Amino acid sequence: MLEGIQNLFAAIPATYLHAAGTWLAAILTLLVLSYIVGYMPLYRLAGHLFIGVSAGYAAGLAWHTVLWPRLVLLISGPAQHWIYAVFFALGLLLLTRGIGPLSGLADLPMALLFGVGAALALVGAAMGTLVPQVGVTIASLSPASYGGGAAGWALAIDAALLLVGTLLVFASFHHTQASEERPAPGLRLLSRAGIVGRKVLYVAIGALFSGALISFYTVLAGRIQFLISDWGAAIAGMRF
Amino acid sequence: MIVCPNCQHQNHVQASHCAQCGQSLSDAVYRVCPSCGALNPIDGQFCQRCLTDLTAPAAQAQPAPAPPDMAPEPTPIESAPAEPAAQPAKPNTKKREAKRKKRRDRKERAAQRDIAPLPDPAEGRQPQSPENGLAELGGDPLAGVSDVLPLETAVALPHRGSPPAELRSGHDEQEDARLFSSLASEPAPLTAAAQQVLPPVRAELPRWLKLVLALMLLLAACIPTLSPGWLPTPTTPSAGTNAMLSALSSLGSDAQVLVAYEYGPDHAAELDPVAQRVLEQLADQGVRIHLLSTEPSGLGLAERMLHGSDSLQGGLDRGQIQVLGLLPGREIGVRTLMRSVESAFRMQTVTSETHAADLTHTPTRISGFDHVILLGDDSRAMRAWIEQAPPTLHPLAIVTAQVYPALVPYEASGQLVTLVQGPTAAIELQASTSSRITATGATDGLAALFLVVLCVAILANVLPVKPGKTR
Repeated sequence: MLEGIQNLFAAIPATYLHAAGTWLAAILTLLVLSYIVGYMPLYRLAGHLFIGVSAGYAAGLAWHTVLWPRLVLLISGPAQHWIYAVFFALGLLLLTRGIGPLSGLADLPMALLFGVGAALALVGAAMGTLVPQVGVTIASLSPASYGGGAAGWALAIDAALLLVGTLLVFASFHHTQASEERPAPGLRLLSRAGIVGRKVLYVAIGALFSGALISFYTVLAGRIQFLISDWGAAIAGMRF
Repeated sequence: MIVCPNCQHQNHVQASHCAQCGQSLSDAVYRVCPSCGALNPIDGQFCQRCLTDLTAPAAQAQPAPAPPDMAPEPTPIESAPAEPAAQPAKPNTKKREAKRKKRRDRKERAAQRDIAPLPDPAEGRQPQSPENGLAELGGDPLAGVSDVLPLETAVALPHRGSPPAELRSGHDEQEDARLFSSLASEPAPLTAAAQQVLPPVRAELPRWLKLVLALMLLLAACIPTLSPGWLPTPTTPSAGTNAMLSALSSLGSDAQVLVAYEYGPDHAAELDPVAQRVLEQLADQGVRIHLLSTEPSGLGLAERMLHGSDSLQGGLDRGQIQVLGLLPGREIGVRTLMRSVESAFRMQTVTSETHAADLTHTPTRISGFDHVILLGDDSRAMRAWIEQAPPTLHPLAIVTAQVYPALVPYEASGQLVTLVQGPTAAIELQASTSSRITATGATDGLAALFLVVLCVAILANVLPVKPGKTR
């Protein structure tokens, strides 16, 4: 049956397939863009299609490239590849989540999965992010360390700004009880530094937001370009 | 007695000043509740604590009048107390008379309605002794009742609801209602901490202005397509793009590059142009390219790109470009790859036919690759590569503008050799290679977006803002 479908698609000229794909993509794009008008059923349809196709593609790819090769190995040589039987058994235990009395069995592979993942993420965050980033903040503030001159001064000022910004943001995360009495001078200084630190955080969040805006705008421009160029060409090439 | 409002000292009824604190008692006129001892205003008719009738004789015997020379004008309520205090027996007589009168009225009304009145339990009641009670229990408990309560007639009559009682409220009920109303409507005192400051209310944009802004945004999105090159395009690549170009151009034909597709179709328009330019340049240099992804969608995008470009399709046919396949698991998959490339993709070379990766020309270790290029739209996926990689591995990253700010620290720390963002890198690469500038990622589109955002910001800030409310 699969070969029959492949032969059927092979018999269709490539230009027709390309035109059909362009039309399908254009219609789906218009369905998604209908969200401008409101939350419409057309938009919901496109969303459901996208999620369904993505899930189906992911499941097919996982079966084809991950599960099936190991299953073949297990069947061809059980004594040699017995370890895969354990993995498949753990995978089957995941499926018991939907069966009421047996749903507790799924906790074992879930615990294994999340435990290993969390351990790797934790160690990676500590050794790959925390330590290197702390090391970067320990930088010289002397222009001579950067070769002097204007470039040295620029790098020194950059390092100073990095250090001051980090400290200010740290100060913005202090939590103290408001007191009617006169606060200690250090606490007052910390509070004022925290206020500035929150401004630094605003700038950082604004940079993230502007990046997201540029990113989404580029995607929108790409879709508009597709509709005008590719779909327009497909419409112009039609013979009525 | 007069209770001092300042120190609660109980003074003599004729005291003008408090004997303890000296506070003037001219206004301190209270009526003491006989039931609970609470102090009530002199004009109050009911106790504010237990609702006892303060005009009753027992209460009227207790009021604390002010000295005659300082007391306020006597009200009818206030002037009443002294009289019953001298004759404590009278109120009971009055009560009995009132009860009898009510009973007579009830009987008359019942007679008018042809309904026999219920026997008054108080009438005919004999002083009971234990012996009498036992004797009564031994006899018919309904004896003597049948003549005053015609049960048969009452049962035979159709059900008839009792007429509604008169709803005319008396003076006491009105006082109760007034007291309850004053208690319920009395505003609670607010302290400074209890004040609620409302945020400033921003005026909403009118509909026509919303439409204009939407049209401006749509126009800005169309500008890159309708008029490429409308605005001056920077031809000088940025430092990050230059560094990436120099790093890639230095590779020879025997070099090995690993490319990870870590983005999905939602950001394909942003990263595809850059990824395609980079892959085509590497293919032209004869570099051996190995593709993989930890996401299924990334692998699909890679294959779509390979089949959509002639040069990349040629490289795929020659075996110069190789799709290693899917690397399941994010941190786990990357950690497995860092340990051994062969172990990560060995299975797919055994049985998979469509993704038959030939690993004979693939380095067995990650250190065998000259460069690792990460294409990503997810900061978590990018961090997984950076954190799980050995310190000796320094990838090149091409990311979306959304992820770019989150990864700048890794470039500063040297964990990423170069970090470029897709929208600007596309136009810089195209300009540097003098190739046709496509609309996607064109800087004139970004400039148009900047103008739109600027206009929106100005319009949003010049609109009147209502001041914050405090309640």
